[in-house]
Formats: sequence, C-alpha cells, structure tokens
Amino acid sequence: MTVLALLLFLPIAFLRLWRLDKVPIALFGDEIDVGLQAYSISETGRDYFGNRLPVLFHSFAEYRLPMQLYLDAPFIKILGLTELGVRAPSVVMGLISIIAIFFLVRKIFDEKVAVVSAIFLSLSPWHFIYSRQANDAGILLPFILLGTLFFVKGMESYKFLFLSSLFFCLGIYTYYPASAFVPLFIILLVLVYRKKILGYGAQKIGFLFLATLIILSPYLTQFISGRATERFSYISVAPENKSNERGIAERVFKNYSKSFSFSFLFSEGDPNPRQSVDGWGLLYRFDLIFILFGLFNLIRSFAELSEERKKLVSVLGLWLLVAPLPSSLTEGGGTHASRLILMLAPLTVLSALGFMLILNGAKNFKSKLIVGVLLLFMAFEVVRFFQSYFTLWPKESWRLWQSGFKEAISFVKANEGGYQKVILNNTYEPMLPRFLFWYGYDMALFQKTFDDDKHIQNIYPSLNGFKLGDKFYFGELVKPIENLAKEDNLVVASAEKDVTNPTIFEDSELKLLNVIYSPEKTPIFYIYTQKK
Amino acid sequence: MKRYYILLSLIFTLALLVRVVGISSYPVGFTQDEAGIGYDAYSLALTGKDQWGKAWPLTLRSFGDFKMPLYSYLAIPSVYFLGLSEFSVRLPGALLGTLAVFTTYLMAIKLSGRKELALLSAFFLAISPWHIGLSRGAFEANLTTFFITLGVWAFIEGLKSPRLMILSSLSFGLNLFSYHSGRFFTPLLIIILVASFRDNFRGNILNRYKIPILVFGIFAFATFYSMFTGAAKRGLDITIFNPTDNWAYVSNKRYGLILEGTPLFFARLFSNKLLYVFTQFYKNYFSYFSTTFLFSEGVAEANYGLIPGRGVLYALETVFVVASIISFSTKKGFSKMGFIILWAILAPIPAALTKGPGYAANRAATMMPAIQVLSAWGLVFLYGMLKGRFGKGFARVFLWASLIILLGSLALFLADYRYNAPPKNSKSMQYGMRDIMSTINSIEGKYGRIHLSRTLSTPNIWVQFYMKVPPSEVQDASDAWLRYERLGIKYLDQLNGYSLGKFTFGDIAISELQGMNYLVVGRPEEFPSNVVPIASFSYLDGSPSYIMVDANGL
Repeated sequence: MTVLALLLFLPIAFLRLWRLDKVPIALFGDEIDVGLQAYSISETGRDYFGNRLPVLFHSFAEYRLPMQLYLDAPFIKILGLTELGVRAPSVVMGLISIIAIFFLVRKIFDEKVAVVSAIFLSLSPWHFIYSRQANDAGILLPFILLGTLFFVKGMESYKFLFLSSLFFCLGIYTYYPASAFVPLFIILLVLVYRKKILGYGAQKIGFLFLATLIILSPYLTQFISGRATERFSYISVAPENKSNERGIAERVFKNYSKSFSFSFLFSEGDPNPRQSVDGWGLLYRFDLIFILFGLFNLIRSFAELSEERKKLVSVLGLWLLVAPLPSSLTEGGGTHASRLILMLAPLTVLSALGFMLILNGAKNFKSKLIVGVLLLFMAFEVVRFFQSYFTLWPKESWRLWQSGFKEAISFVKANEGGYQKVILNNTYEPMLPRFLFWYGYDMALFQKTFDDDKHIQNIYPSLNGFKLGDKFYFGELVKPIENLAKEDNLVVASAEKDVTNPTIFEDSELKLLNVIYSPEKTPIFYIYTQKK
Repeated sequence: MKRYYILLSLIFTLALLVRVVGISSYPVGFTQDEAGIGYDAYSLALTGKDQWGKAWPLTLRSFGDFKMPLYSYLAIPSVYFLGLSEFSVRLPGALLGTLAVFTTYLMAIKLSGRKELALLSAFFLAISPWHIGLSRGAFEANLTTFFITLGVWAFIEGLKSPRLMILSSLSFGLNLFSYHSGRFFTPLLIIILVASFRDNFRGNILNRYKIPILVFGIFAFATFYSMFTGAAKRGLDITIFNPTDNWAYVSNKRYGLILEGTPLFFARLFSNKLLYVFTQFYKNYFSYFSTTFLFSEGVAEANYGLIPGRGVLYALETVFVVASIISFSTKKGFSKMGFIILWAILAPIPAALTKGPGYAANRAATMMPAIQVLSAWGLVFLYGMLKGRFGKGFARVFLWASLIILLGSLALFLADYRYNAPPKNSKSMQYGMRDIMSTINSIEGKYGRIHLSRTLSTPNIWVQFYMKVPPSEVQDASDAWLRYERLGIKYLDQLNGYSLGKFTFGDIAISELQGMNYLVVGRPEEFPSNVVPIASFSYLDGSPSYIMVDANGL
C-alpha cells in the first residue's frame, strides 16, 4: 500500500513542480505581494509597512490574512525571491489536501473510494490550477479537510476535537470566505452529531470552546477593530452597482445557482483566465456523469445506510450545500473559482464514488469493455487538459498574469550602475511592488524611507509620481516621453500607456536599450535613454 | 369530484387570461418570423398558395429558411375571419397554449392516476413563465406542448379503444410539422411511450391498430418527402456540424499547439472537428439542465418574448424539482414517472444539436410539460412526506404557502413582463415596424419608389404584412426573387435589389440614390451623418432604430 501510495505520489508532486517558474507565465500582482510580504517578514520580522509580526498584513491594496504570507517566509528565505519561492506553499498545501482527502474519504466510505478521490483531486483542473499559483484559496482547502477529518474522529475520541478546532481556526486565518463557511459548517456538524456532543458534557465542551477562543483571539481583536471585514464588505452584495435593481435575496440566489451551474463547473469555468483554462471547466466533463451517478446512488441507498454512515454522508452533503454560500454573498461570486474552492472537495468525492460504483458494476465482459473505453476516454481528457495547461494557457493568459515585469526589472538591475535616475512607468500596472520584488530591494531600508505612493505633479520634470530613495522614480510619464531621456536617466516606458508611436526610437536622440515582448510578440516595455 | 372540476376550470381560465389578454402589444414588437408565418396564413386563406405561389405546401419557403407549416395552417381561420393583424396571427398560439394546460391535465391523470398531480401539473404549466412567454407570440415552438400531450393522452386511451389511437397518430403526425425540434423529438417520444406501455400490447398489434399506423405512416412519409424539398436545408444550416466560425476555433487551437512544438499527430488528436462537435453538443445539451437556465438566468436571447435574467421556472420550483428527483431515486415516484423523466432527458437533444449559445427556450420547448409535471410532483411528494411526519395540518400549511408564493411569483413575472421587459426586449423583438410602415403608407404617394434597407431584415415581409399586399401580387413578384437561389445565396434578404411594386429592397448605395425621388429607410449609420431624416424611430429603451430619408436631400 505504501509503495503504491508513493508510486502515485511522485508523479502527482512532479506535475505540480514541473516548470513552476514558467507556468503560470508570470507572478501577477497578488503573488508578488505574497512574496514581498514573506520577504519582508523573513528579513525584518515586519510587514513591508513596518508592522511587527502582524495578524493582518498591511499591503498596498488591502489588509491581508496572514496564513499564506507566514507559510511563504521560509520558502522565500531558502529559494529567494523567485517564482518557486512564492508558489511553493501552494504546491505543498495542495499535496497535503490530497493526503487529507484520502483520510477523510476513508472515514466516510472506504479505502478504494479514498484512493480514487485522492487521484481525482490531484488531476482535477480546479485543484491543479490552485496548486501552482500563490492564492489563498489553495491554502485553505487542506485546513478545512483536516478540520472536518478531526471533527469526525473527535466523535470517537474527544481529544481530536482540539485538532479539529485548530485546523478550522487556521482556515479562518487563511482566506476570507472561511470566516463565513466555518461557523456555518460547524453549526451544522454539531446539529448532525448533537447527541454525541452533548454526551461529552458541559466541562469538555467548555474546554474546547475556550481553546477555540484563544486561537481565534488575535483574529477577533482585529475583527472587532474592523480591519478584517474591510475586504469582505467591499465585495459584498449590498453596496455598489446601482444598475442592478434586483433585491439582495435574488442576487444571492442567482449567485448560488450559478455556482452549481453546468457552465461554471463543467464547460466554461471562471471567466477570469487566471482561474480557468480556456476550453475547460473547473472539473472534467466526465466528472459530471460520475457526480450524477454518485449522487443518485447515495440518495437511493441513503435509507439503508447505518446510522454512523448516514451522519458521515450528511456531513458531505451539507458541506456541498454550504460551500457556495460565502461566495454567493459577494459581487460576481457565483463563478469565482477561488471563493468557491471549498465546493471542490465534496464534488470530487461524489465523482470518485460514482466512478467506483460504475467500476464495480462492470461484471461481465461487455460492461468491462465499456468501462475500458471510458477509462481510455478519461485518460485522453486528462492528458488533453495538461497539454492545454502547459502549452496553450500560458500564452493565452499572459495579459492577465501581467508578464514582462521580471525581464524589465532584471534588466534595470543589471544596467542601473551607469545612471543616476531610473524612471519607471506606474500607470500600466502598479510598478512599485514588482520593482521591490524583482530588484530584491532592502526591506529594512524600504520600511524606513518609503512614505507614500500617491502621484505628485511634476515630482520630476515630465513625470507625475513618487520616488523611492533618490534614484528610483515611479509614475505617469508625461508625453512627449522623449523629454525624460537624459544621459543619466534610464526610462522604462509601457508600450500600452506611453509608447503609442514606437517610431520615435528610430531617428531621434533616443537610445533604445531593450524591448520586452509578450509571448504574442507584442511589446510590453521599452527601456531607453539618451544617445551619448 | 365536483371540486376538482371547479379547480380545473379556474386553472383553465387563469391560463386563458394570462395567455390571451393583450397579445397584440405584449410581447412587445412583432418578429419577422411571426410576420412571415402570418402572411403565409393570409396567402393560404385567400389563394390556397403560399407567398411563393406553392399550393398547400408541406414546408414554407418563407425567407429561404423553410419554416414548418403547421402554425400557418392553424392561423388560417383566425386570419381569414379577423383579418391580417398581430392579434389574429398570435391568437392560435395563445389558444393552443391554453388548451395545452387542459391536455396536460388529461395526460397527467392518465399516466399517474392521481388527480392532485394532474391538477397541479396543469396549474404549474398555466403559470409557467416559459410557457406563457412562448404562448403569447406566434412561435411555432409552442405548438408541440399541445400536440404531444394530446398525443400521449390519446395513446393511453387508445390502448383500450383503438379509435382514439387514430387521434394519437394524428396528433403526433401533425407535430412532425410543428417545429424543427418538435419534428426531431416526436419519434423519440413515441419510442419511449411505446416502450413504457409495452406490457399493454398483446395479440395482433398490426391488425388492431392498422388505421392509426396508416395515419402516422402518411405523416411520416410526408415528412420524409418534404425533407427533399428544402426543409432539411435550414435544419442542416443551423446544426453544430456547421459552425459559424467555419472551424476557426479548432484550427487556431491546433496551430497554437504546433507553435509550441506539439507533433502534428498529437495536435490533431487534441484539437479536431469530432472533439469540437462532441464538446459543443455536450455543452448545449447540459445547458438545458443547468441550474441557471431553469431557475435563475433563463434564456440567452430575448427574441422569443422571454425575459433573459429570469429562470424558465420559478425559483421556488428548485425545491420541487430536487424533491421530485429524490423521490424518483428512492423509488417513491408516481407510476410512469420513468416515462416523464426519460421525456425530459431526451427532449433537449434536438436543441443541443443546433448551434448557438444554448439556453434557447424555444428550441427546448419539447421539455414542456414534462418538467412542469416533475415540478408538480415534487410538491405532491413533499406534501405527502410532511403529512406523514408532521401531520396533515402542517402539510396543508406548506401546500397553501407554496401555492401562494407561486401565485405571487406569477404576479411578479407578469409585472416584469408588462413593465420591465419591453424596453429590454424591444430590439430583439424587432419593435417599431408597424409605425414605420404606417408612416410610409401616409407619405408614399409623394415618391416614385420606396427603398428599404436590408437592415430591416427581410424588409419585404413588413410591407406585405402591414400593407396587406394582396397575395397574388406577392406571388407574381416572388417569381423573380427566386433568383437568390440560383445565385447561391442562403436567405432572401441577402439578395440585393429585389422589388415588390414600388418597393425595392437591398443595400443603401448613397451615390445611386442621390437626387432621386425616392423614400429611403434604413439604420442611421447607413446614411451620411449630416443627413436630415423625414422621420426617426427608436426602440423602447430610447436607442435609435431606423430613419426615413428623402433621397432628394442626400
């Protein structure tokens, strides 16, 4: 068994690590931020705005939950400011969730379904996408799986409940939707197991409650001060978007309905190309057949299950029903693969269950032949997905991953020696975090010297922006951008925002040093100075 | 006993009211297909020939799209007696939609033997936004609900008295001429129907049912025959085997793979036509069972008077449909529930074979009333379950609360339909042609010729319909229009410069029209921006639709 597990695990891990620096094609804003905060905390013990060991990290755009950032700190320390360093926690937590689902499903059904669930999860597009990018969603899943596993185990032995509480709480420290999902889910779990839990007596329950309160207290203090809710209310259904005249209940219902829709799960996926591969849903097409089959059989046989099994199956069902709720409360949450990540686990289990039922149902030669063809088709689909993921997707999605910054800033770093000022465009995408990251800027120095990134008119002739130290200027390049070219200046201009007419580099005083191209061979950045 | 009849007549009255009241104005606008169907009915009523001069045709050439003929034939009486108008053309659809509520009751009671289920099924269909929407326009898709339910009812009755089997044959036979998806689905339905009742067939079936078989055979033969006279054309043109982008998606993906160094064999394996067609079918097919289509978002386009952004069922029905599926999975369904489930499963196949974004409630109309029967059963099942667990009082409260919420949902839907939908739907429903034609009518005497742009999509039909051009004139003129076919053009309105009396249709070529004594009608963007129109028209959301220009001023 262990040999088999290892044999399975190696390719699963390999697929998650292979070309991790190239696919997804670049570190996009949120990932850069993860790396930068991890870098800052590992170097100075503070977030980059100088808060010591924060519960919520102060980032340029928002206050961030801390889990991923702390998890990433050791990796950044070891692997440096690289794609690998930033994405490593996602890979590790992705692998842990595969192990966790095995143990949970073994508890609910049996070992075979558990193995299949683990394999299905490891190959699922949804899981794969979030195993290879630094996103809180992928980090959250294993915590909830483990929290549930230990809750169920806690119904046999009291001490496991502390582990359950710990993991659920860590989930709350990981990703915002958990702060809605976890309480709801726990209430339902308690209802399902009410007899057992009441049997533990007031004292034991009190202990557990106290422990939970202690683990959550740092979060709760932040929550009460209002910081933790900032982002969540920002995207909640109620405010904004006046054009949508419909009531809140209706919009929540619509979101909820969308998250169970065929097109989201099986054919179109998330409209955001960072969170879905073009031409693929978040699950495989064959998953639909298995899920329906699994569901149909569970409903059919539910009455005949043992009391114990009934409860376990209810846990699974309630998980699936509650999982989309937090996301439904947010604008666009009906098709948001990150916020809906918790749906993945129960859906995968149902799919595995359906698959096993079909496999076991094939007794005679004819049905075995059909299953054989089915397996072949499944293998084909899986291979086809990985093919799309690794070859087509990076190119198709480069714009949303915002590629080009690494190359541009590495060039700046290698050549800045000869210049007194470096002027960088800040209107295409926020440049400062990317600059700090790829430059490997000294974070202690940054914390000391940086004050604000608001644009100031004419901070430098022909530039509205801000500066970092005396050398680096960020902002809006005022046209004509030729004015910025001085012998001592190195300018990084955006092709989209600044260089609307690239012929200026042909015959003027300008010296074009480098052009950074997208995979589609369109220019992203022009780096230039003045001819000597 | 008596109570059931009172309830049934109440449901029937409600169905009639919400289907017939105000059909000439709501759904807003009047589409080219409705006008085409109506004019052919007019032409048939007066001359016995369609607008192309074909006597009693099995398919209507119409705009080159070869429509199914049944609706036009059914509209002959109302158009003949009430005159050619939006009302008279839409009336048969509304009446058959109402009758479908009654035939659904008959069918459900025969299938299940349960009066309460039959009544609720009729009620659910009566208030269904999907069915009301399709009933209120001259939409061929809607006919199938009536003919299929009648056919199924007569079939079950016919097992006892073979004479009613003739009615069943007739009903299914006519349905072969109702709509493309109805035509495709009817044989599938007959197969599952016969299979579901196979135990009832004993002895010499061929002899017992020789007349019904003969009747259906005639219809089947006529269908087969008409396939060779053009009906198959549109059928093929709109299938997924013939993608609009001409396989560009497939070749782009394959090219991308090759660029990345994938060997040709694998690039072909991973991106090919077969896979594409399969994916499209899969996507389309399941779109009709998607939670969004059924309960929350509904149709993708508004061109059949339905409201995008609103489920084809009511939100509350989510509960009923889920309960219904659970009852079936646990073998607690009604008798012959398997037949209804199979019906619902097979019904979207024809819709899935046609291209488009999916979510086309007209193409999937064959799912009705199976889906309403299932939903109604969910309520019956839940009632029974609650009664068993919490007592009769509780169950009754649940039942009445459900019914009141459903009636409230109906009221909200009707309000939406009456007040919110018109501005949103007016463009898709080709609103404004009546006004444009009456304006032309009042000033056409001043002009030597009236030129209508092809952007009025099939401009000839508006003239024919609203000016009530005598069919014989159209039949004479359409002789010359047939050249579109020889030119290899698919649809009539792609032909440039065909004419009817003093009306000409086609592109607006400013240089040729300048200074002539012509009246020109087209989209604002078809004219120079400085032109001063005689009259301007707009959709109900305020966006401009068409303008009328004197060519002297160009």
